[in-house]
Amino acid sequence: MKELRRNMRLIGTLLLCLFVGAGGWFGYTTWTQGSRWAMSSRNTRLSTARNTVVMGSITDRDGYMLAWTDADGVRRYSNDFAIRLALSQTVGDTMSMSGTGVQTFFASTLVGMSGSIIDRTWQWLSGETTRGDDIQLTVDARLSGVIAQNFPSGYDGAVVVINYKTGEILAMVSVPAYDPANMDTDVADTAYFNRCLQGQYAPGSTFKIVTLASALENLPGALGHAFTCTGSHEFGNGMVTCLSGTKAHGQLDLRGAFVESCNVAFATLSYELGQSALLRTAEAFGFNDNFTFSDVVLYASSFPKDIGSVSELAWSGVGQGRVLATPLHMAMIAGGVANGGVVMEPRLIRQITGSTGIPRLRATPGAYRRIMSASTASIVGDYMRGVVESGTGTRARLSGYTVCGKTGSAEISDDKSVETNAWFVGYLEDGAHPYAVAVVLEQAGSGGNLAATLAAKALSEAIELAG
Amino acid sequence: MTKKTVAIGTMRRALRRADTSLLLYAIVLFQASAMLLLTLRTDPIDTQSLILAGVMPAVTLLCVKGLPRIWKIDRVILALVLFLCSVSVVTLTAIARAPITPLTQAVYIGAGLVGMLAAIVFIRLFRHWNRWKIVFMLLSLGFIALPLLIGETKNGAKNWIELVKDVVGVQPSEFVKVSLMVVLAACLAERQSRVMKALSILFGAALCVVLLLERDLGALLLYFLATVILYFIATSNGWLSLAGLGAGAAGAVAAYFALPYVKKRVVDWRNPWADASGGGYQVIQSLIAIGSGGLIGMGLGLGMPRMIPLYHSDFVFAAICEQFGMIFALCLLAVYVLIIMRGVSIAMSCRDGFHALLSFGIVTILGLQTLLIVGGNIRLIPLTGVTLPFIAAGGSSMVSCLAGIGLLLGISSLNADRDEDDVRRAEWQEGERA
Amino acid sequence: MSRETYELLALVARYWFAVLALAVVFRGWLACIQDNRKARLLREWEGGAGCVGELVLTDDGTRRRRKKPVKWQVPAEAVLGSGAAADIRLRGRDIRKRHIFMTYRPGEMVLHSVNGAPFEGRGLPDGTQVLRDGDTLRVGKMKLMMVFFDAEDAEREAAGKPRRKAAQVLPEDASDDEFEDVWE
Repeated sequence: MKELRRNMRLIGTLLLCLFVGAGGWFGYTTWTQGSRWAMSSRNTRLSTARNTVVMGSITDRDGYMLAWTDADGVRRYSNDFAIRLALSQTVGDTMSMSGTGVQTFFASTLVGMSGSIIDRTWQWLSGETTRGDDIQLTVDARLSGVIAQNFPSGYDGAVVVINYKTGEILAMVSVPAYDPANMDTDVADTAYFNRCLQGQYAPGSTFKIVTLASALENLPGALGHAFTCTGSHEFGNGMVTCLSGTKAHGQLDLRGAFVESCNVAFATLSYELGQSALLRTAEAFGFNDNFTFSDVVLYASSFPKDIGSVSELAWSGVGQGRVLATPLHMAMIAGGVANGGVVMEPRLIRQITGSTGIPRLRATPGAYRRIMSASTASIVGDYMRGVVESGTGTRARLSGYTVCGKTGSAEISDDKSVETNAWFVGYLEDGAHPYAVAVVLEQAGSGGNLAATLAAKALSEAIELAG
Repeated sequence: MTKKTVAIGTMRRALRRADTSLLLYAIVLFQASAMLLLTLRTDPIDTQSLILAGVMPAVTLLCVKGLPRIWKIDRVILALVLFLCSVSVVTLTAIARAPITPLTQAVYIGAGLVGMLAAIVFIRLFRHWNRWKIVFMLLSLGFIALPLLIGETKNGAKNWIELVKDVVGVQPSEFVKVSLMVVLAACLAERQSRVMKALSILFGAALCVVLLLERDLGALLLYFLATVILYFIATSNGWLSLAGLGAGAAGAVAAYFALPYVKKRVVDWRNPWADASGGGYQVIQSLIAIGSGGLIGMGLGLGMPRMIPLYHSDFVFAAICEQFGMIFALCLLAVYVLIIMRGVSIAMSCRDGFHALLSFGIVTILGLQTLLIVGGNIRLIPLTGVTLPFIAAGGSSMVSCLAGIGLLLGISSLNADRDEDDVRRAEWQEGERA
Repeated sequence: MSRETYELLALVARYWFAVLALAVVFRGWLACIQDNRKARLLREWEGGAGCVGELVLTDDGTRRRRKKPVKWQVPAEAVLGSGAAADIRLRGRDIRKRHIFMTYRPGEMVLHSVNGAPFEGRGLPDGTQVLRDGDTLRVGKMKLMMVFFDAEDAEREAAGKPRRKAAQVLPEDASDDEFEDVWE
């Protein structure tokens, strides 16, 4: 009998563990992913709710109405055409064309599916039709509108402005855009796509921020490193060139190499770092991370884990090859440099209010992670200041303010006739206006040209409008 | 554990079981309030739910207070099982226009309770399991093979017999579940005879083969695991049991490659969104329902549980999550755990091998069945065609599970009787000595 | 009743049901723990819950005189051997880890040998070995005498008569505090 009992105790404990495991897994996945499942477009509860419940309204950070339902049940948007276009992908549409738009991602909140008792009681008592919750976003509508108006015509691209101290997204403009008030008109193929969140581009020279940080943290004596650039250099069985071999930078120290954006120098650095060190730093910066932020769906940036050749390693160090990054991620990185090495979690929602007017959720800043040490951040920041002062990003200068940044001209094709993507990533060194910006203009040539100009405009407007 | 000489008086008091009044009242309160709320949903008032609102608590009180006066059965298990049955009726009522009406389910539960009583009486009188095991074996094999001859196919498995066309049907694999345990316990009770050990394995294998022919793979998995586990407990032969499990795993892998719909099931489990309108649809809708429910659910009678395919049988857990929420669903899982724990405790207190193995076997089968179906609902494992005991709609499942519980309760009453005898004898001996 | 009113009621009821479910689980769990303690107590009791008799050592082959008789409680189903998992643990060189498997039948213990281990009890005409009340079991160098607790009940069962009536159901207002220090 004792044996029987011993065996039964064993199997009984096993069974119990299985139950506890299953229950725990159930609780965990439902807690973390339950809202995402419910937001699926296949959830007919949402579409039926939209028919019976009045969707809540969406406002910007100053209370400006971006989307609301009028008395006839028609969804209305802002009267300002530029603002409508600028925030089209952010606010989203009612037909879930923009998958990352607030009207899709937060549809269950807008139709009040969380069913707060207080709100329902209020509505019942006052005889109102059932309403969902109202959402206040962190974006600034006027800033977004101005940025959209200043967008160089003829180019596609994205501009992101964030507050690097709180993580709030102040502007997310993606061109081409659509008009949510007139969904029947023809739009460009990629108009519903939010390039800020979903656009995975080769970062080009803006990736040198990562390589620089990696060198400062992993290579002793990196600060005193000297380079000789003759315009091109052989790495493995490939060539790394500065501006297609036309520009030879000559003798450079580390700061100079960054300020002048010398590919040869940084390819040398990545060669010296080796694949694993560079990968480690990139992953510390958030590359290869499947972001699960509560407010936004941010596509992952990637840094290849299986670099096979020396030439690929060299090109990866200058942000080419299989390296991909989203504009919001690059803005977050710039913000991280400004914030002493700590990147804050991006926030799109400022407040959620029920029909009683009592806010149900007030966003608080939260840190995403520390991407580099504070001392590394200050050195990188100093170099980024140099880029705008005297280097490739001088068009990003703003009088009265210190702008730090990094330009990038990312090659997207071996065909020399195809222009590079222009990048500018940077921030304002000002405690009262802690803004970081990322600009990418597709096939607009060098980053120091149109991208830097647009970035400066965005920052100056941010100072003026967002205060 | 060292043995302590304890006062007889303490032993006498140890015979008293824990007080179950609070448990009972909470359960009855739930039944009454849930059904009353549902009567208010339609206009005019739903009389069926009103009747059930009165009948269910009455039956529960009657059973939990009355039955222990006849036999010393375990009240807590009885109360928890009746709780689960009532959740089934409440869920069916909340999902209006389900294929099986709440009244039908209540009738099934009634039939199941009768079966439970029969099982209690049966196990109390059943002494000569040695003589009857062959008979049971043949009966089980015959019954489970019956659908191959005169059966219908349901959901891809030929495991269903229609007694009255479209009205009453029977699923033999549910009933044979219980007799499997009886047979295995009887064969393995002696634990020494090699013939008996081999016979038990052969019997299990034969049933599995029949199930394979019927394409009822969920039941096959259940039977197989239960047989291996029971064999291990009886013989302590860990290596052979592991080898058996390995053979089973090999069989599963072979099935994956040989049977296309097994492969489909596994593929749909890994990535349901790839085939969102076809095979993955069930799991996706289940997850959506669970997600929509959130922590406390969408509300009784609210939500759209009918969006989930098979919401009354295979996916009833997801429907419950949607209506009642995650907390309630976790509590349901905890109730199953409690039933299993008490079942194991009963098995440990048994006097002889047959009863111990039988009670543990029943508990194992219930536990495995629950794990399999809940796992399938939450995408922990691929979907298998088993039903959630006591909660899924369906006559065969309800009656056979209640019969199994009846066996468990009967064994607990036997234990209680014998304990009572021992304490009485010890008191008498004390009295003699004094 | 209007739809809105029902919705409101149902939304409030969510909390109520969650509370009830938690109460059921909590109370059930408490009951489980309390009953488990008691069941364990009964099982480990020297007084012998589940035991049908005793084996008394009459001769251990060493001619040592003992003051107090050495006894082992015999459950309805037991394994006799020298191993730790044996229900009746005897120490001796000739005794295997699992030596004899005994089961209770009204009136006697039926003895089965495990893998041919040698012993001697009362041999029946059909070849099985049993022990009736008062019989001696010879195993290894030891001699043990079987004593049944309920010799009278056993005879009644063997004759097919019903057992003597068990005591009636006890009231349930016992406190569980006295089990705190007993259980370890």
